[in-house]
Amino acid sequence: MKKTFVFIVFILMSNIAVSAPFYQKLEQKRYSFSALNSLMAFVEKKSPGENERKALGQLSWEVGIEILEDYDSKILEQFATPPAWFALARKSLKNSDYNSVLNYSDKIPKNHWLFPEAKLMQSEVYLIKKNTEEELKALKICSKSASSAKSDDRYFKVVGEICLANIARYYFNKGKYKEALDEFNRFPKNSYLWPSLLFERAWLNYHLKDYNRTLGLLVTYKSPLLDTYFFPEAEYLSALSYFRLCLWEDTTILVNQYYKVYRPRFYELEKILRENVNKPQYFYQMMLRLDQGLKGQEIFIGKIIGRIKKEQRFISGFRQIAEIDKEINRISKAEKPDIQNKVVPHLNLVRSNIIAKLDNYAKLTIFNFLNRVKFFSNEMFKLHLEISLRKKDLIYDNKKLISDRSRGDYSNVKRTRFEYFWKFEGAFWADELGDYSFGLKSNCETVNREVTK
Amino acid sequence: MKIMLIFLSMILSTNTYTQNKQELYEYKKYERFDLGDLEVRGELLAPGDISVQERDRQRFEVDLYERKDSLDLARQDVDSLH
Repeated sequence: MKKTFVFIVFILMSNIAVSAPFYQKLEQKRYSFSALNSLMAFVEKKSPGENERKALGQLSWEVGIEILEDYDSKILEQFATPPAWFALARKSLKNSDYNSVLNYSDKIPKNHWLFPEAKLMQSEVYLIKKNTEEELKALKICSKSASSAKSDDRYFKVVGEICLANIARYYFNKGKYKEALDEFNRFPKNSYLWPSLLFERAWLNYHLKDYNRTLGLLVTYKSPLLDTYFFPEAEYLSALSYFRLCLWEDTTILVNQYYKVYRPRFYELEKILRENVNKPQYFYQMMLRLDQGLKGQEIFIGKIIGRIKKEQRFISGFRQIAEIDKEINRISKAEKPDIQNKVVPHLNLVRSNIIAKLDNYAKLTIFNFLNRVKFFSNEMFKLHLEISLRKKDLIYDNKKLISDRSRGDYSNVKRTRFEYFWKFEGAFWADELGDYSFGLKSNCETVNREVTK
Repeated sequence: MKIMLIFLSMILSTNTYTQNKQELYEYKKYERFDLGDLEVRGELLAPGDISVQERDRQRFEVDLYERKDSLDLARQDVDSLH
């Protein structure tokens, strides 16, 4: 009897020792999203050990770090690992608790994959706190650490590029345009951010009074390769550059084009979008397919959406949804109903949460874009008004511009020894993009009007 | 006493009579001015030639937008990550 009792106790003990937590079983079967939720539930009841910390590190890489932000801060605090600190830092940033952002992000070690973005986050805080020295330092560390990341993942490249762009922007904000331009010129043409940075480079050249280079950079957006990049600001800057060269007729052509072509289309589009603004998932569905009752606006809005879809946020969001769908599918086929009932409802919840976030972000981005169209519509009007006033001034002074419409010459092209020179032969070539400059002569010289008899 | 009573009743009756009587105001309906007949005393002053005092022409500066920083773009890029 005594032997049997000892035997039963032994079996029970060994069973307890062998039985792994539920999250580990899910992790072994590579049900990452379900495993993460199960891990959080486990830690809610029991303090995390080394196994749980390792599991969090692995799962946060697989599912995406932003999923952690949906969990309670108290649970995340218990882990005391880089992914948890990172998620806590991001939560603090959203709550404008800047000291906590610095505290949490400082704990992330240099060799961790989240280190570059943690530095980017710190730079944001220093920018808000107006500590420019620390901001620049954080950005430089971010750029360097992202470029030395061992992974080829798009995420590291994008983080590194944002840090590099923000270094250039740091100089831009300080009015050091030459330094900013040098930083922007370090971007290779195949980088993800390069096309959207063209108009920032154009502004820098504008401030350096090289209006021909500004126009050359902006004409790059007319290339078929970059037809998804439509910026109202770029249209305005082109008109403004012509204006600074006193080529008023050219400015007027651009202003009229903006008023006749772009503005009516965008007003029509805004009307349709506002009608559907409260429709759940409307904007998310629009990202997937463009037959959302846009009444012939598909091609135009398609270009804007095409650009938004290239953002890292959407790329990882779409990937997460696809992974969740796969996981639900696998669980439904391979697991018993009790396990299915335990994990599938949560997976559906995570899925709809990601969709809601993407929908909201798409909505914000599109309306922000439409607001920019309106803003630059007003600026175009002011530009047009200024031309009228200047023409009036000339009449009062009995003067006129030296030429009605001055044209270009190669001698007007300014370039450094590092800049290429291509003649425009009526076609865009991929290797030439971003290197264009106009050769227009300034028309600002005035002459006396001849007295008519 | 009797005389006083008669005197008082007389005063009161006159007062009531004046209160009941309607007051009529009549305005002057028509007045004729003969301008030719009017005389103005003073010195006759008239400019010899038409002249306008010179002053600077008012010119309103239109405040044209020029991007001076890219804080919004930096924020936008960070938001596009997650």
